[in-house]
This record gives sequence, C-alpha cells and structure tokens, in this order.
Amino acid sequence: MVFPILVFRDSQKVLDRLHGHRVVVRVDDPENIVDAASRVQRTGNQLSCVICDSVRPLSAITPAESWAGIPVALFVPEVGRLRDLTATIHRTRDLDVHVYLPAARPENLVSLRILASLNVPSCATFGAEPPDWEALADLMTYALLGPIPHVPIDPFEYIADHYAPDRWTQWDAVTFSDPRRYLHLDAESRVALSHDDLLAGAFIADDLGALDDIERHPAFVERAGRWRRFFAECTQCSCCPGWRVCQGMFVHTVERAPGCSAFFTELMDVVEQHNAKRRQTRQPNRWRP
Amino acid sequence: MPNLLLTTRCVRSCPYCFARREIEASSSADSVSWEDLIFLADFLEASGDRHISLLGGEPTLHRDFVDFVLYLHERGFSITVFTSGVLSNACLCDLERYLRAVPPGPLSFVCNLNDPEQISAPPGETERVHEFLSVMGPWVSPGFNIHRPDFRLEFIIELVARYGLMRQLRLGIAHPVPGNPGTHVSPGMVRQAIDRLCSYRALFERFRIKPGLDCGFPLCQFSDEQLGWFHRLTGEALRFYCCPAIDIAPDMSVYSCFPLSRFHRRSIYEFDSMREVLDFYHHKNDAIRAELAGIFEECDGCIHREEGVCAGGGACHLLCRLTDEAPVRLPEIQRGLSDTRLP
Repeated sequence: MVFPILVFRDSQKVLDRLHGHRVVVRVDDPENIVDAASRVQRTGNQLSCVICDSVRPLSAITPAESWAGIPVALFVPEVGRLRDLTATIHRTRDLDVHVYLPAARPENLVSLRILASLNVPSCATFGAEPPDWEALADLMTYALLGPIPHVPIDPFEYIADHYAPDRWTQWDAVTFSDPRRYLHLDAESRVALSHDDLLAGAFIADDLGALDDIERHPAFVERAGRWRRFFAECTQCSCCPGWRVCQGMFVHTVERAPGCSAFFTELMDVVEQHNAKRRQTRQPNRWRP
Repeated sequence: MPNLLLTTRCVRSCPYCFARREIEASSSADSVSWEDLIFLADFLEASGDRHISLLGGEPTLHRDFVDFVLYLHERGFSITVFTSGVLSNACLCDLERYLRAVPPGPLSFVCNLNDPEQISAPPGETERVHEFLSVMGPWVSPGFNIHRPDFRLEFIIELVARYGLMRQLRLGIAHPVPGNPGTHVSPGMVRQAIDRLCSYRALFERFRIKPGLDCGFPLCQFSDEQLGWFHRLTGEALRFYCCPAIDIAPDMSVYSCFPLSRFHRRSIYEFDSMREVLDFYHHKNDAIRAELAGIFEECDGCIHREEGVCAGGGACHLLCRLTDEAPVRLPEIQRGLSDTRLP
C-alpha cells in the first residue's frame, strides 16, 4: 500500500516536520489558497490539492487567476444565485476547482445539476442529515445517464469509475475520508483516520514516526474491519441490497429516512448501464480527488 | 426553435389571446422547474438546436426568469423572450443589472404591444411598458397582433423611435382556437387587414421599420404591388407559412402551437429529439390539410399552395371548420379531434 496522503490545516509548523510527502492542506479563506500551495512547494512536499472550507456561497467567491495549476476542493454550503455566479463561472470552469455541496439541502441537488451542465465539476457530500433520496436518485441518473456529455458529479462518477459487480465499492476517498488514501493531522501532527475523528480528538498516533507500518496499526485494522459489526449486530444494512456500495454509511438515518436502500440499489443498476455505454468524450486530464 | 412556457400566469387579459385556454386550464403554480429547464437544454443541445424562445403567460413572472436566461446564455443558447413588457419594479431592476450585460443578438425580446386606444389597460400598465422599453429598448423588437381590421400602428412607430427598439415589427394575426374561437381575424377579414397594413407603407419606409409576417398570412390576399413593396422593404423572401411552432408547457407537455394546444398533445419525454417532435407535428398538420386544403375554397387546386409557396392559411382555421362539420372523414383526424375536448 502506498503511504496515504496527509491532510492538515495550513501550518508552517506541520509542514516543517514533513519532507517528500504528498499533502493536502486545508484553508478557510479562498484568499489563502495560493499562499498555502506555495508553502507546500517550498518545504519539498508534493501538493495533492488544497481544501477550502468556505462558509460563503460559491457565488460570493471569486476564483483568482493565480489558482491556475492548484487543484482546489472547494467546500461551500450552497451555490447562491446563478446571476451572481455567471460573472466568475468561466474562471471556475477553467481552473482545477471541484465544488463540494451538502446533499442534505434540497436546493443543492439542483445546484449540482446546474454546475455539471455548465461544466463545473462537483460533488455531493453527506452528513448527519439524510438527503431527499428520490431527488438524489434523479440527480444520480442525470449524472450518469444524461443525454449529453457533462463534467462529473461525484460521488456518482467516482463510484461508476471504481464499481465492480463482484466486490465492494469504497468511495470515501472522494471526500478525503478513506484512511487507506488520506490520513489527517492536527496542528501538533497527531494522526487521525478521518477528519471527523480529528475533530473528535480520536487520534491513532502522536506523530507520523509511529506509523511506519500503517497497514498493521491496530486502529487501521479495526477501521478496515468495521463492516463486520453490521453483520454481527444484524442491522438493516447487513441485509440491504445496496450494501456493496453504501456499506452502512447511512445506518444512523435509515430509521427516519429509509430511502437509502432503494437509492443504492438503483445506483448500482444505473452504474451498470453507464459503464456499459461509457462516454468517449470525458475530459482526460482534469484533476479529481 | 421551440417555445418554452415558463409559467402560465399572465398580467394581461388581451381579447385575442389564443393562449387563454391554456392559461385557464393551468394551475397558478404551474411553472418550469430547474430540472426541466436543464433537461430541455440538454434535449435541444443533443438535437443540434441552440435557440429557444421563452413565453408565458408572462415569462418574466417566473421567479427564476433572470437566472434561466443567464443559464441558457451561459450554455450558448440564443434566447428570445416574448413579453408583454408589464414588469414589476424588482424584475425591471434585475433586467437592467443582469441582462443588459448580455449583448443583443444572443438575447432579444419581442414585446407584444396593444394599442391603448383600442384595448383598455389597467391604470399604470402603459407606463410600465414604457419603463421596460426604456431599459431594454435595444434588445426589443415590437410585436403586434392584428385582431381587427381597423388596427393602428402609429403608437408602435412612436415607441420604436422613442426607445430605440429594433426596427423589425413582428406582425401576427389573431387566430381562432378550435372549440373556443374567441376574437380572431376570420378569412374574410384578412384582405382588409393586409390593405390596412400596407396603408402604413410611408411610415414604415420613413422610419425604416421592416414588417415581419408571422404564420397564417395567405399569399393570395396580397396584391402583386403589395408583395413587391414588402419584398423591397424587407429584402427578404416572404413566407406564407403555417408550420408547427412547438410549444412546450410548464408540465413538459408539447403541442404544435397555442391554437392547436389540444390537438395531439404529447409529453416531450416521449421524443428523442426535436427532429422527432417536428416530424410528428408536421405529420399531424398534414393530416388536417389532407382534409381541407386551405382557408379558402380556392386553396384547393392553388398552384402556390401545391408548390409550397403558401400554406393556405392557418391550420387552426381548418381544424375549427372540421370541428364544426360532421362527419369528420379521416380516422386519423377523428383521433386528433377527440383530444380537442370541444365544449
């Protein structure tokens, strides 16, 4: 296994302790994206991308020309009004920007479709609140079976790219949550398996030095085998036909929003159709997480 | 070039309105969703069609009107908006702020103007139209529906000059709606209307305004001199056509045109391309014309109709006659008529 990419909040202190690593730096303000990328280059590490966790809508963010060459994962709460976006959307489209929107907000499901049709790559993210599963299924169908080529809407495109009918499809990596691909560091360089773990203070090591053989680390092994719990406890998820893709990701919301099972079952069907007639016009060299 | 009805709500109540039945039959909540707009843009793009007309009701009443226009423009569509020009202050501000950034050409308006002396308007309506024209004048072509033979055009010419409108006047004839004819120009009134139109020859020439004829004008009702004048003034080949306009309602149902909105109404989702839609409605219109050649007895055997130079008037007139005559001959037509839901 290739050593995971390190994700941490933009910090000279953390960077000074690293060399030759592939890293993702987080910033809150889009104004800091270029500085954060430059810092990584100066310390001899390799920038994978910059995550920007903005509280502003996309329409209130003006991408700078200096972002050119910097892959940016732009997490925003909403897109805002299209009329305020049109002045800058051509630049967003020309840069390596991937827009992340929370799927729980109904208007964002429409926005994801708008962005894709305007050739801005995007991704739906999932949190504590469940999405409107039927609307999400419509979006997923549009993303994978739309009548004309458009840029990807993740995680659907990511799932389609990695889908195999005879095994599980893990797609945490699209939101930087797969510990096999991303480890998260805090300001003291303590290591967590996910951003949520980091925020909860659930660290697996005090520094990277303790992680020479990450695949054998007990916490990593425990996380990799966490799926067994669903079967040991015989939850709804363990007998769900959508398990091969969702793997219990929505076990906390299935009681109040049980549409996830139908959604993931349909997703697998649509992915198989999509992969059977995969478009030949996909943009080849675009950065994707 | 299909017409998309963004909403069936309207601010006017024109006596000749051939969309009235559509509007009355619709829920006030009927309006196009973003999902359907994107579907339609994809559908048109896949069909190789990059132009769309936005209609209503009054399309600017749609809450996302400005965003829809900007979206379609961003996708490379050219857009024509058919409006009454009666806009709220907020909408007018939005147009000034956002749509004036789109150059005329990719975006244009056809403002349907009513003669304030012949059609009474609520207080303030005319002023609102003037405000709209003062903001968007260079984007606007005036439009006028002839619904009586003694119409007047002076007020339009004045508006063109005052607000710098495009010097292209779109002239339509008020058509009957089968089953509910309403105020319209009957075949016997067409020649009078054309004579009236040509009486404005001097004003058209002086102000360099080109009259453009919408569907349903029959060639034989023009004298050779009138045809010559039209041709010299417009520099374009005159078309005496009636073909499917393709109107798409907010619920994504599709039909040939407003007057034929109950005739073989389908869902746009039943078709794979605009070509299919057009072929379908051409075929249906041909079925009507197989029964009745045109709006005049002389249309049967007319060389110009047979050569395709003239359509023989509007198919809506023919369908009106077929709905009033029994028995209807073709089973195909009968099936179509069964959808017209006569009163």
